[in-house]
Amino acid sequence: MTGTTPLREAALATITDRLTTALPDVVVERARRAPVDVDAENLPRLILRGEDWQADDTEEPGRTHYRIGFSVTGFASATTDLAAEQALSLLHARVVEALAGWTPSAAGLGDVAEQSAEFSLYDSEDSARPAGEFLARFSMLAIGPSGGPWAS
Amino acid sequence: MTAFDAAMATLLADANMGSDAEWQAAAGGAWTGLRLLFSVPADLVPGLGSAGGRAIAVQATLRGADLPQPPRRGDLLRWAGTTYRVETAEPDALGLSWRLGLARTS
Repeated sequence: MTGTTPLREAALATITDRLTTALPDVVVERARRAPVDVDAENLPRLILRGEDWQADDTEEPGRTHYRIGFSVTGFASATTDLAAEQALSLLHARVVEALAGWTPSAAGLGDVAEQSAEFSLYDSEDSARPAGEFLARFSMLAIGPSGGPWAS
Repeated sequence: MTAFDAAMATLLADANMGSDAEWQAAAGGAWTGLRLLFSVPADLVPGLGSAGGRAIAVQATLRGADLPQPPRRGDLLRWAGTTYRVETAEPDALGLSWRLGLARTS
């Protein structure tokens, strides 16, 4: 069986839509490779990237349960160091609220699980503007027929 | 005046390199006029393994003798209509000049 939309792509597209809807004041980008210029670009900003893919064919005969890993990197700035730290915490909490435990309505896609997060407030020697970033990791369940990782 | 004093004075006086600015102690008080050498290096910031960030740092070098007291974190610098807060202050080995790391205040 061959489809047109891979499960991984369906998952990442759905997650992007979810973030865009839940955080309308935040810029959301996918698969960006270039660094974010915290002086020139609009913040807060989120970068969604697909990560590891794990398959488990022991859960259900003839079907494979996948764990699609993805990360969300958030960038925020403020006028003081403390406010920048608080802005990072707030942005991270909003992302977790939007994604953790959420189950998209798209066929084949299951719930999102929160995994971990790292935070970094940029050193003053690197950035005159108080700013920082976080890297939050999640995974999404996806189920398809064995050997057919397609959403449609 | 040593050769290093003279070199610093020449750099600060140069219209293409030195700039007029004002300094105020963290505790407040009067603003002190002085000359500075500003630099604004932009570079990648060590990030968390994703795309990462790019930021602009602002640094200033000044002559210690131009200030009523050694600079320290929390002092303010006004330059070209912008006020910066001193985050780091490092003296040179001879005690002639200070290199300041600055943060934007707005």
